Amino acid sequence: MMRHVTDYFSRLSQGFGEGWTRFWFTPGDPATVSAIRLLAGVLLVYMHATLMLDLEAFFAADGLLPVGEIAILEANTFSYLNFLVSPAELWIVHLLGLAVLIAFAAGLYTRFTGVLSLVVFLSTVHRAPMITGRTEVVLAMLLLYLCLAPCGRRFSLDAWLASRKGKRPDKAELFTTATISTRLIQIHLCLLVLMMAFSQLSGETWWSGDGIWFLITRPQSRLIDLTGLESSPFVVDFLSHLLIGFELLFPILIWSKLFRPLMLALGVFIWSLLALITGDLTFTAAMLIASLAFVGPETVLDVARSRRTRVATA
Amino acid sequence: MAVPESDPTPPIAWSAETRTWVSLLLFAHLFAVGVAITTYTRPSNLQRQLHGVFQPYLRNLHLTALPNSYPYARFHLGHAGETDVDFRVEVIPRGVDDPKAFELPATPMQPLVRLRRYQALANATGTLGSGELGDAVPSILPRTIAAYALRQLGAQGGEIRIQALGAPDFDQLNNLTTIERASRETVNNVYEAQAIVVPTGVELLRKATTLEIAPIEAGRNAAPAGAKQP
Repeated sequence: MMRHVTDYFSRLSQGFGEGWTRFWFTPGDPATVSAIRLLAGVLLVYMHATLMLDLEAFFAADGLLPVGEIAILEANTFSYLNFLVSPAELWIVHLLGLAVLIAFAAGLYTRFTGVLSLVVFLSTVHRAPMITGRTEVVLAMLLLYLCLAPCGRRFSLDAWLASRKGKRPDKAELFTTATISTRLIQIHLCLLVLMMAFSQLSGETWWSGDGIWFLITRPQSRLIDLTGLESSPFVVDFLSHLLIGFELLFPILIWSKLFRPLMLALGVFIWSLLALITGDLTFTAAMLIASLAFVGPETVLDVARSRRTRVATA
Repeated sequence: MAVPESDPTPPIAWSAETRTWVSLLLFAHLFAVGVAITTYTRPSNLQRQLHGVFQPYLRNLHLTALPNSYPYARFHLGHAGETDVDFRVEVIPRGVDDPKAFELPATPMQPLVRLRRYQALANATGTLGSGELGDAVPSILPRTIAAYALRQLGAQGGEIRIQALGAPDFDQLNNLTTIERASRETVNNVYEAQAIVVPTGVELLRKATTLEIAPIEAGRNAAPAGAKQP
């Protein structure tokens, strides 16, 4: 009897070890992380650029959120913006930050600008967490994991400059760090989606099917007025249950090859629906970009190739 | 799995020792992330303690959504609670020729992400001001907003009011119609204070906590048919 138990645990540990190694350390093509870098970079540039319109209103010493007064709400986090006093300093540093983010999105000196982009982004978030939301949590995760990967190997100025110098990237060049980065994004995304489901189910409204309706009726937030659904309460119930069902099933079924395309397509519908009724467009964009981690590099390269062919033909 | 699915499977490139160390780091990181994420909803004391251990790591990398002083990222989207609504902050100046109120968020505003930031600020101010999260911090944001607004308006004093738009009484909201009506017609004043400019900034004299429900002016907050900004 003892021998069977010992054998079982021996097989278990061996199987787990092999599976763990295969899962994390099989080298992969950096196409997926490169595509995520490009799209997340564009979103980051957009968010940083739009902050310019309210830079002094939020961050200046006589603005809405003076450093000294709101320090207690910042939770002892680091931000270089806390050390800037004059509007001129603010503008210079903000524009430098924007330049870094543009370079990262374009894939210029990506290893270097990736880390700098993380510092720029986190400093902005930590300076005023009360003007942030769900989007920043997703973007922080993406940026952190992209810093680990060779995400400038494709769709980037780095790759273009290398090809001009005659160093054509080896098509078969695979990286373990690309796999680790992609895996971390996949797991973290699943945990976030699961957390959304659990936190929604901890209240009454999502069980009763009214959750979506409360979002629809928030007059300040929504993008479109869907209160016409009042006459179709079953639709409202269905959408509430669909959202929860998706959030519960996504972290499980997305790992199955068979269900993955279905879950990704459903994800596009669900996150877009949420954008319409919560008005949180950037969150939807961030979730869709993060979901790209489940699209294999071959598919990403196929799409890029077909797009290039279409442009050349045109 | 999605990433390494090229056929045949490429060989593992890293040495066993490197993999061991990286595995250790991955495990530690994912454990911290797991703690951060499971702590978001109704954390136990153990989860809180563990979150405290990883707090500097999680907070500085912005990997946790556990509220520190207010819930900035509402992943639950809404439980029909008193603070699961949009808030509006108004500063009404006193002693100026044009007593036009300062409003946060001011609408319309483009691009939409700007409006979202101001709405997030108003919601954080309202959530803290409602006292739901304790009495230590409710006046921090009202004071900074009042100071900014009075400076903009050139006034020496005024009144700041934080309103919850459509805060529902869940027991009464038993069907979609009443929920919709509440969202259009109900405004709860969750915070009111007199703001006085003093040499060191602005002092607030808070009125007794008010939760009276008042009808709002026709059309002011009514949902127009068609597109509406966030």
